[in-house]
Amino acid sequence: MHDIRFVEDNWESPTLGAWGLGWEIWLNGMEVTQFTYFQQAGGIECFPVTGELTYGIERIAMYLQDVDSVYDLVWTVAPDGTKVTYGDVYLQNEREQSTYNFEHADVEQLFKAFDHQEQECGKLLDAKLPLPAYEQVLKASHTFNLLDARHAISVTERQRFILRVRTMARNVAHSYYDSRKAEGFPMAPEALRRELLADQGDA
Amino acid sequence: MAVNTLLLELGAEELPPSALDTLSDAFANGIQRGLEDAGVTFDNVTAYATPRRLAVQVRELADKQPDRNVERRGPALAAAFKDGQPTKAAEGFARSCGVTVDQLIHLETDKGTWLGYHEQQAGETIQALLPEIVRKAIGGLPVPKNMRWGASRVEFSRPVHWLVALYGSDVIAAEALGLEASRTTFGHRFHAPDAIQLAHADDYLVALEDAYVLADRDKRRERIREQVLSEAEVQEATAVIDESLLAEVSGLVEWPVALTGSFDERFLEVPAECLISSMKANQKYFHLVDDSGQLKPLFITISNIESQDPDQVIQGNEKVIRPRLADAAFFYETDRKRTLASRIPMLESVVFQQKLGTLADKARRTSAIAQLIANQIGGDPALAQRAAELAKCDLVTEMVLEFPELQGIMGHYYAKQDGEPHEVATALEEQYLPRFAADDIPHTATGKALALADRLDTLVGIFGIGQRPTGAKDPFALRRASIGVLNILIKGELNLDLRELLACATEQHRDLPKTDGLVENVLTYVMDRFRAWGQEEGISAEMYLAVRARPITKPLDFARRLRAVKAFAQREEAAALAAANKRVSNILTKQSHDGGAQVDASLLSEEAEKNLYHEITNRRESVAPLFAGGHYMEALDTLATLRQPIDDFFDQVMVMADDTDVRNNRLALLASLQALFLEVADISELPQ
Repeated sequence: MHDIRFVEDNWESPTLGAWGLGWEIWLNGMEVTQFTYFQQAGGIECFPVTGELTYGIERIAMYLQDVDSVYDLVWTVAPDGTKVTYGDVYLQNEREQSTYNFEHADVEQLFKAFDHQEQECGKLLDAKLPLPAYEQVLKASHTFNLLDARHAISVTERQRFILRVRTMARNVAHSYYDSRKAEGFPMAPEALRRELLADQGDA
Repeated sequence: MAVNTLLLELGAEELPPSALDTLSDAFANGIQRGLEDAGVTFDNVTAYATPRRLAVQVRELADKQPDRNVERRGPALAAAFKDGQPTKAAEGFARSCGVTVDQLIHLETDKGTWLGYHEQQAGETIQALLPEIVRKAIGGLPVPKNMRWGASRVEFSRPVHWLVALYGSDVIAAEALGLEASRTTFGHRFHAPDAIQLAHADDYLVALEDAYVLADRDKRRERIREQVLSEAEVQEATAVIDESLLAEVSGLVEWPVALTGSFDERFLEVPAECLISSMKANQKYFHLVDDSGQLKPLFITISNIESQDPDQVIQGNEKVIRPRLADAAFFYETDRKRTLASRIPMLESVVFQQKLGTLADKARRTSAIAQLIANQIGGDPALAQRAAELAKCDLVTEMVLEFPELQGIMGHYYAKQDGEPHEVATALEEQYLPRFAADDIPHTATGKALALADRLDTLVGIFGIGQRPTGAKDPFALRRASIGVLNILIKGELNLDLRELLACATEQHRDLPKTDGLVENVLTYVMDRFRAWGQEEGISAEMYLAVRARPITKPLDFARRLRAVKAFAQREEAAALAAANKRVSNILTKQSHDGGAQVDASLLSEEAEKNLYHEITNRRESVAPLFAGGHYMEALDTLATLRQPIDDFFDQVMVMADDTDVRNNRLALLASLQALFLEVADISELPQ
């Protein structure tokens, strides 16, 4: 009945040192989801390769409910029959968060926060705690986006910030890899485990 | 020897459409080369491709290699026998051939006689040969970007799922990319998801068509074309079929079904180019126009399914295009809220090239060059200046930021709306002409001035920072820019001196690192493009060299000479005159004759040299006005009549006379002859 199509669309995040190959999935001409075979993350080759299916769940819901605006989606129907929409639930939040992010976010503090997150990340890596360090990467990446939204980063500075996040992501990825290697890759199939442990040059 | 059909099919997840044709052709070529190298005969090789498969069919493929007669060479005869008895070397060789010494033969060569043996080698069967040929062909595919999947080290453009290798009805034991060949293929992802067992390699196309797959690329493309045309006919409109879009769409579907949708008429207030760009770039739709070429509020999409409810597919597509067109309308409305001229300051912050400054810098330079050109071609320098100022302003509009291919077109619309002079608005669009060799050139004088100035500025700028094209690398498209300059000057009949224009363009740059010889370097580079330019006009390398030997710096003049030489080369006298010119040139070079001396008529004694002198003097007078007017074709026609006097001269006159004065006078006569032809080109470069 429906025309479902796989349209080439490759994904890359320079900030995270990650990329993959895959498709947009079209439903009657509309992109409803993406499918990506990850090839690299944090600068490390993915093996085995992980797949990522990013459901645009709102888009699919829009399609199913035949509405043109995401805010017209029916979120739920109350016992008395009144409809509560996505807009009822999220619109005010969306407006306020946008106003905050674009107009009120404290640029000076955000710069400080970024520096702090970067320092914390390094400190945690020194302490061989890659997972909490990873959370600092996520925070720093988010802080960068907020600063970008406030146009606080010039074109040349932007490149430098991207590089800082990428360095963090790379270090975290390598640290996590090393920590799993130290455990002997307990979840990997036997053959692969032996191969990876034997391959000293890989990390 | 029996023959049969070979079928190979590699099944994959949806392959990138941009790589599909290349992969498909390379697969067929790889198989063909493998078969040829193995010496197996076949009738023809056909490539098939859809987003989910690459296939090759080989018809009338022989079932084995032909038997081969291999000649083996053993020891020299002298070393093979001692005292009539075979030596160890001879016996060893015989053993290695599996025979006795008396069964060996003598091989006679220029260097002596050797022992030898003719061995019959049986050809290998196709079953034995194919696995290696298939492995090599698939391994050698030019995948633009490889990927891995699952827990496998195999790499390909997209994950692969099946491999079919059938010779007639037999499965070939081939392996590639971690797959073992079988007779199992698959049809359309949704219409026919079940496995299909192919009984015979010949069944391929029919079996797939039954399973909703049109494997033949050309057939699929033509079916789409027919469908689009017939959908348009229903709408009583004309479909505009862009061949590159058609090719792209054919690479996206296995079972094309054209469907027509519509959009809100109010969008037609937006320039048609914007709507078309949006439909084409985002959704791969074909657009429709009415009899007068006006865009209709309709589109044709190619779905990959025979839907039970086509309306749902159409409605889905209409739903997608609405916000896209609304975006285009929004960009248009937003852009129109301010004038194009008000964007001039914005160009100060857009970098053209790091070492060459901003777009504002480029506009200032272009303006100076454009004014000079406008003056020379009878245009209005004030208009050229205005056009140059505004030329890049549309690059910072919302519409062009979203659809870069609309550069120039939007400038034209917005300038017109702002009430800029008509010729300025037109020039903003024309500055990008010609986009390719056979494209139109700008019509207006301002458009010509701007298009030339923009390219000349880029040429000297990029050369000036040491980034001239090398080999196949031409990131700033300077080849195309150069050919564009030539075509504007030639088709526009503008007899401008390129050296002068380049000097002006160079003066506009303040801090170029590489200014030494810059003008001459760029001049040489641009004039060298005449070789490629000439190929389009059927002008040979020799004709090009004949004109290139002259220091011509006006491209229009150069082109006229090329065309004259081309016409001259068709004449029956051409070869003889080329040879004569070559001979003259050789004699003068050998005698280090400077060519400056005048012919002294009183020293001429022989009939043939008197006659030649007379003819040259006559011709010189009649061709002088032709040279001056650039009528080189007529000039060469006139000079062609010198053939007989020249031939007579060489037949009857001895140039290297003993008397020095006579000799030098004859050399002077030849020099005057050479000079006459050189007024057009160095004819001695032509084939003799």
